[in-house]
Amino acid sequence: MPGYNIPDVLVVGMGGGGAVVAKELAEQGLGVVVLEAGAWLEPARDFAGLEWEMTGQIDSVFRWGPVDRTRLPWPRILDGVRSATQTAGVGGNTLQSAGSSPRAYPGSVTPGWPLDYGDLIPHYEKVEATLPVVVPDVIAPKDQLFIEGCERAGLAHVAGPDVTGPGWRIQPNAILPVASRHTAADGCTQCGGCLTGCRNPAGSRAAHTAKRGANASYAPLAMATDNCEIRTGCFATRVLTEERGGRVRVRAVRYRDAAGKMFEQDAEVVVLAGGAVETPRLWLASGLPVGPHTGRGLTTHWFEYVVGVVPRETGPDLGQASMARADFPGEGFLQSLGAGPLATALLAYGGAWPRPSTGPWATRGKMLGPDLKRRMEAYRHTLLIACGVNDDPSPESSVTLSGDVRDEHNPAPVIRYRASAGTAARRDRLAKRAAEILLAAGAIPESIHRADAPPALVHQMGTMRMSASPEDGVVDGACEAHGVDGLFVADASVLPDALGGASPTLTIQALATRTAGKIAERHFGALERRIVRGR
Amino acid sequence: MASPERTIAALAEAVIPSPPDDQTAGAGDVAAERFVLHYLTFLDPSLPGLLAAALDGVAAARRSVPFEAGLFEAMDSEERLRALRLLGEHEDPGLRDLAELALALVMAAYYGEWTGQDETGAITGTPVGWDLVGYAGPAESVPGLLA
Repeated sequence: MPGYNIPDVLVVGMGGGGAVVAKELAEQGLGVVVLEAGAWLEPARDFAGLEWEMTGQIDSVFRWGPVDRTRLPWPRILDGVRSATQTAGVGGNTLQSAGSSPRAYPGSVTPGWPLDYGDLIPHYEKVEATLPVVVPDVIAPKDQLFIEGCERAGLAHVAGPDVTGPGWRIQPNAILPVASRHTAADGCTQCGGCLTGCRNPAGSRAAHTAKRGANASYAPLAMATDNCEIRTGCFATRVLTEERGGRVRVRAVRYRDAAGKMFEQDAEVVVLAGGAVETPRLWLASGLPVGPHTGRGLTTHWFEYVVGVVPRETGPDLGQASMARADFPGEGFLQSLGAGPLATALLAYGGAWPRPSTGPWATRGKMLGPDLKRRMEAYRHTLLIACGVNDDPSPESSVTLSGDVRDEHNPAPVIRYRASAGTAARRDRLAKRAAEILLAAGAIPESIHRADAPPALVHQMGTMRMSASPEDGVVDGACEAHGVDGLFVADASVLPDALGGASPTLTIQALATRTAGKIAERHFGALERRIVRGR
Repeated sequence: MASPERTIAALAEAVIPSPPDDQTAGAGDVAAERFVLHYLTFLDPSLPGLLAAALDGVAAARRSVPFEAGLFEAMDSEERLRALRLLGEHEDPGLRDLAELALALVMAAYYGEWTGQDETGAITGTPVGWDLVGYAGPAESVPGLLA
């Protein structure tokens, strides 16, 4: 561990975005310190593969709470939201994601963005090579069935990473190629454990697990430079600024370690990468300049789930969590999703209370009692389709600070989500497409069930949007704060919209790669200096 | 004698019924209420009592009778589910959230790993829910799906 007194760059959060910035800048010779609220877990030791143990959110390994799991999770006030996925720990939410890594739909990068799609392509390519992103060549039964349904429903196959029209394709996943049955080589063992934390091939250390969450890819690469120090169990509580030459610039970050001791860390540049909830929370708690977009414009992909029972075995617990997708640029996406029995029960049958509904489904909403048991007994013949919906940014959806609830760090975040009429309409259309695909795949018509899932923030985005002018956003086209020099954001909060509905992780990481370059260019002389300061 | 534990057991049994209301083992057979009570108490020791009182409250509303502890438990499964819906759609968002939390915990008790774990958390038997749905548990590899 380098043990910097004053690092060049201080990163807050070692999730999907923060780990990329840390690796990119440390690799260029800059001294990087990362403050990470959670631990850096060792998959072979810490990931049990059990659904409740890993993902239950209350005292689970993946949760938003202190490293000490006997303590309560950190409070959030949820308004119009059933749950919000946040994960403390190196890797952040990539620890419990499916690994799906599509690019944004080109048409979604609109004039509202301070850059164009072409600017992103070299950064996409770099991330895709680094993780790597792989299109798997051995497809699990559930995904094969999804593809059959898509084809019979008239959807064309689309090839290539830049998708401009509707069609199905094999899911580009941040997962190593499928392992060979003839050797003990590294690779994906198709164990089905993506959502509960990748721990295979058996005995893997973090850097060698098949799913390339930030814990297994960018974080080890950052550490390999010997220019990066990760301080785990350390929670940033304030961003401190100073006036220099008549301008406000960042000076330091105050933080608390797991034992409760407070520290203040100076740095030339600070990068906030705690996600679309924690970044605005820290910003607001720090008294940084607040404009009309600070903490506003929260988007998600308000997931819906449509499920059917087919006469043949689907193997919902086998293979990568999702190996096929159908894209509908501007509307959103559908993907086959394999999960264990608990996630299946909660996602497919734990939705809103039933209400009258017309559509190509037989039932809709929460299912309980004997009906739930019969459905779950058909688990091995179940095909679950997740619908991710393109979402309209709205000032009604926001992250603000609670006036009366707080944790040991700061006032709790109030996470408020209100879907627009446009989002709701797109969601209905996607659910109908999912039902049509299920029917085309041979699902029993009476088994088609729409979950009617309440908003659950899985892909939270947009609360610190980037913009060309200070009137239209919080950070500029380089993701540096409009009003605070040296303060950057490198997470999903900078996204000005919901990417046309595409899963955001790869775009977050491509943007973070670009942001790292901008940091070097603006503040460190275009990376010509290779001397690490402050050791 | 009504108690939060018995009221929550009645809730769990309605959500995942046991014989004779259903053919296969249910929440009552695995004492799912213990799991629910553990987590509610962990979050806030007042929650089990609050949930039980809320369930009795909606049971009273459904039957148009004065509040009385034990009313929810006295209902049959179908009536309990209707009363539970009243709580799930209550005007108080805190009560709605409590109903959703309780439902999620019942499902977790039954379809998660808990019924197969010993006191240390080790899997020592097949969880009941896994057995009924045909889930073999976490695997290291699926040989049939390798390259």
